[in-house]
Amino acid sequence: MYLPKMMMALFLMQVSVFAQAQLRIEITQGGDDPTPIAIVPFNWSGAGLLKEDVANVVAADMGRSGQFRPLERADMLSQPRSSKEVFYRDWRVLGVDYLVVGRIDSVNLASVQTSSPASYGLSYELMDVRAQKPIASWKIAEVKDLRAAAHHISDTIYQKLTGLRGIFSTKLMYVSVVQQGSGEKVYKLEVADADGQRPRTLLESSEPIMSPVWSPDGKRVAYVSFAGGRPAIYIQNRFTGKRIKLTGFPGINGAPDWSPDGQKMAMVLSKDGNPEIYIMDMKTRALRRLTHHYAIDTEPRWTKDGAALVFTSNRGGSPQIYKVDALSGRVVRLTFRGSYNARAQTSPDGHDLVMVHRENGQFHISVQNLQRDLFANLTKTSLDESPSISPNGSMVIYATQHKNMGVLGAVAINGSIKYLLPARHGEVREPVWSPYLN
Amino acid sequence: MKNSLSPFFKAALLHAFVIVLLVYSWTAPQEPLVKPKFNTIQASLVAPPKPAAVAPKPNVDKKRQQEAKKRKAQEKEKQKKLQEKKRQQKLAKEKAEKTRRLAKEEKRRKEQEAKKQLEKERKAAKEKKRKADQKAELESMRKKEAERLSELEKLRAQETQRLESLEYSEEQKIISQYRVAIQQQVQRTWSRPPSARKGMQSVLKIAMIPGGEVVSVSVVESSGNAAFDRSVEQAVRRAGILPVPPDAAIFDRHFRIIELIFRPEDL
Repeated sequence: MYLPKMMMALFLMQVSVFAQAQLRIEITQGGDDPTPIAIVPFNWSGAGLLKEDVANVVAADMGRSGQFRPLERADMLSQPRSSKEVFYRDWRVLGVDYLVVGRIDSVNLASVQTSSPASYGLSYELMDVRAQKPIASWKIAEVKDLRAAAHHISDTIYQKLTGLRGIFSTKLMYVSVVQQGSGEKVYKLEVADADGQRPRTLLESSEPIMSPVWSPDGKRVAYVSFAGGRPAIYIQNRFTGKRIKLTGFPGINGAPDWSPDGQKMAMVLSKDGNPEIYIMDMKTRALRRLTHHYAIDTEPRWTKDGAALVFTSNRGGSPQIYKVDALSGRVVRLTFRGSYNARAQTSPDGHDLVMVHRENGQFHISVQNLQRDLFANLTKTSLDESPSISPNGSMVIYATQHKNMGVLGAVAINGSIKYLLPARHGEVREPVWSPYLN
Repeated sequence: MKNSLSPFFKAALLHAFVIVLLVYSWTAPQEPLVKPKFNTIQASLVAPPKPAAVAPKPNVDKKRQQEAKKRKAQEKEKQKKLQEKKRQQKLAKEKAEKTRRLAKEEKRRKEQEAKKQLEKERKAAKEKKRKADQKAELESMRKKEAERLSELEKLRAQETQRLESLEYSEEQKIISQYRVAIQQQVQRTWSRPPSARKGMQSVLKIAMIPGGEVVSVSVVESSGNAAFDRSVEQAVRRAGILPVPPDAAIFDRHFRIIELIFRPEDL
């Protein structure tokens, strides 16, 4: 009885001696405030004005990520062109953690004769203001699209500082609906930059376009078109515009979703009676029915490993999210909160399930952690629908109502930031975030 | 078994009772209390009159003197015989007495011897026990002493601890106070990158000068995620000056160099 006590005392003494040598403090939480960053206007060595303010695009990108707070340009005490010109103290005073400086040089002037646009060379540097040292520098040898170059710079800096691949060069696809003066509606399938800028129309129709989806390589898209009066699933090459009709069965042909390996297409068909989930082999076009239930099974979305699909079904009495094994067809229910959960998609790491969740009669975008029992509403607005997760899993784009208009909203999956994309004329629906495109 | 026997006992008891009753009813009127006393006296009286029972017998007149003489002689003889007999008896008695004495003596001797032996054995046992007791006592004393010493040692340790802790606890209080303050400050300034995950851990070693200004930050244990490591360094640099005790001695002992362990638990 006495000896163990003695040993214990000795042990404690040693520990305390050790502790005395080195105080250790554990930090287990973070304020997670956006990191202050300054993007100094890039120095343009050429003549005239550039079409794009690259630094401005980069700052906007960083701000939209929710993880960074760009310094207002008006607050900058100086505008250094390279790390050699930086007085760290100036930036420290402003509370900035990181600093980006850069320069744009003319490589080729625009030629009227060959109708080739001007091309530019860019170089930029990232600095740690607190540690007072450069972190990295990059060069872009020749580029024509300055806006794309700006998004690329954002991606590079973002990845360096967060450890996560940036999504600033990705695209958004959505359906816009514009009511003509005659009262007729025009449906457009559009693709825009991740910041909502520079939309391009892929398809225009007087009949509804629904459920657009990207191929895993981002080169093609699939959607449901009612052209001809009946729904059919089409695949279209984004660059050539060439399209093919994939299915045209009687009844519902809906909700296509490419498997992650691009080999299969999941879809909803009602050719056998009621809506069921099928998988089509893209080479042989062979169909395999995956679900067998008298209830409605719809909105299939592959999990990122391609082994299963999540889908919406009312087999339990109310719409809930289920998971079906792509091979065995074994079904498990995933959601149990509330009486309406639909349009689900799993995050790239497979940890989260993002869906439309009804609470008190209002439809929110919600996230459920599939490993721990965590559930959170990401949006507080009332008619939020069609969530789509960014390829890096950090953001969710969704459709919502704003001032009686259908607009696109984006929210960080951790809820840290939320913003609306600039409203265009008409309505926007069913946004889908592209995969990485380069 | 008990049940089968009990009627027998009952019957026996009843019989006994009836017998007692009968005897009682017989003896009760004859004053049974006196009877046993009487009996004893009777018994002691029976023995002595027996030799005296041969009494002299009166005879005829002439021969009376002769007879008397004869009788006297006879008497004398008889007396002599009697005396002889008595003597013999006495002798025998003495002899018997002697034998008895001898026997008694022998017995006593034997008894004494046995007693001696017993005494010897007893003594031996006692000695043995005494020795054992002594040994046990010694052992217990030794034990008690050891206990006392350990108790003393414990008390001394306690006292030392108490004395130390008077100072120590005051210092500990200050340390833990500033430990919490540093923790809170760094937590406020830590912006974790989206790639941060529960289970990651970075350890920073930071050096401060009195007043709490951080003069050096180094990663002593990397999380393996460069962005995570950068974020923890940035958290400390962002804080710039950390709360430290104004007492120079305490600062020197505990805060000049500290380690910060960054381990997100809520992600």
